[in-house]
Amino acid sequence: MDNTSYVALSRQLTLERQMSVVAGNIANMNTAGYKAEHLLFEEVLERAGQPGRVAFVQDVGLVRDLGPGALETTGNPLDLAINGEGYFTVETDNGPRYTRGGHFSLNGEGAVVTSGGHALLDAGGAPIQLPPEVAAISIARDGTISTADGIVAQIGLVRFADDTRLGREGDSLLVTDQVPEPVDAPDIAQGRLERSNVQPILEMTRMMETVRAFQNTQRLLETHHEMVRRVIEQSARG
Amino acid sequence: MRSMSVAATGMMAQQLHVEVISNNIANMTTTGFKRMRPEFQDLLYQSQRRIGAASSADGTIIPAGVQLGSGVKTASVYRVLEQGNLVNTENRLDLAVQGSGYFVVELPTGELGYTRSGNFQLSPDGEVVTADGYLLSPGIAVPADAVEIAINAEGMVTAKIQGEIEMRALGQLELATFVNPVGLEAVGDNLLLETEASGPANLGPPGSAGYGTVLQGFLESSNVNPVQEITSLITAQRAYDMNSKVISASDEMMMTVTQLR
Repeated sequence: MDNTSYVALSRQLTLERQMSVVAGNIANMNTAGYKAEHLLFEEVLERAGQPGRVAFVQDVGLVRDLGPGALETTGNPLDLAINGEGYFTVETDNGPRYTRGGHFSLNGEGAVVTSGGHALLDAGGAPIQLPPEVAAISIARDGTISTADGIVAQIGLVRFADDTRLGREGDSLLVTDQVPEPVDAPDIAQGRLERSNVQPILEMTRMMETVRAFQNTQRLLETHHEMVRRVIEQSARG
Repeated sequence: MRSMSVAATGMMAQQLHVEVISNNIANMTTTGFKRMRPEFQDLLYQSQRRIGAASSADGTIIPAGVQLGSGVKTASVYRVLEQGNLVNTENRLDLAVQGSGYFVVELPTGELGYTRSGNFQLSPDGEVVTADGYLLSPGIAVPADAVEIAINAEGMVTAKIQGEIEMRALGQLELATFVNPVGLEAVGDNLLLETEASGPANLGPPGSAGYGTVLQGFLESSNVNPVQEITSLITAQRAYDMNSKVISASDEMMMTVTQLR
């Protein structure tokens, strides 16, 4: 029974994953609408056929910090930041996806799209199409898009019963099988982007913590190894 | 180790951020230049524990799984089309567009180029050309005996000719607008080309609905804001620093492993 090694190993594997999560947060420090993530650990109890309990560690979940990011003024009329709760809905080939990264632009046909070319959907779930030759687009706080000719469309913001159950898909898109509900009081800021809510200092300290924990576990392994070696040596001498 | 490659994507993204900023600062005094901004997105995720997977036979599910990201990527570098400041040059053939629209320029290749930079000059034949000698489209020829050229807000070009009492009409300027002007391709020399993303050019006289007006004797300066650029530069540099710290920390962890006896 070499429980010490296995416990240490379970810890090191989770620490390595923790490091990836921290690295992901730091790499996405300047990604619009990115939400920082943290691993959740849990001890897994196992009775190893002897008195006493052995506790292994396992990473059971990823918690997304849903706090707001700072709003940065960009000057692009189709950069939209969501103040408070809600997600934009965009249309992809695989169904609707949700995002808080609010950088949109017009494609050649006048549809409002993300940088991946996915169309932004309005409150009714239809792609937003602007009339050709629009000079100035103004977007009100409630998502109403108007041009010189009047109101064109209204951007729909959606919310979910359980925000943590949104899976990430890359390209700043989120996916879920939950049914979206419209946000009661949408608050959209035009010409701004929501920056990521990654807190660099927190991430750096977490990174140092991870490295030290990893090294400590390693030391534990070495000590244990040393003990076993000494036992073998002494019993061989005896 | 995954964290190393994740941090490497972060460093690459920040390096590009600095490159974009340096180009903006370098073009701070370029006429008609529009500042650029990079936009980043997260990369693909790998699920270690899938969200919503069953955690027991009683129908309980995992509320938040473990999804590990693989870093960051640059989604686009886009032009911010805010109006630049207008600078008075008092040169009769310096034109600035107030509002939307681009001057149309005939390139030597026969294609049409579009520009916001309105520092025009006269060719030896009296035609209005850009600083590179490319013809303005539609062409406007100024007679050799013209004393004064006047261009009004609607783009009407008139000239005072020696010995004539009335101003003589020389032509009408046209501006081009696009459904998606951000989608124009920059080719240097202050010129932009039409692409599939920009949509076709819509030509029209200045001052009509959807088109800006022309201002004679002024140039549109770049819309680069030095304060904004320098603060972005600091953020980008610090982010670069931190990503490199992640790499050295991951290295330290790997070193610990190799030292295992």
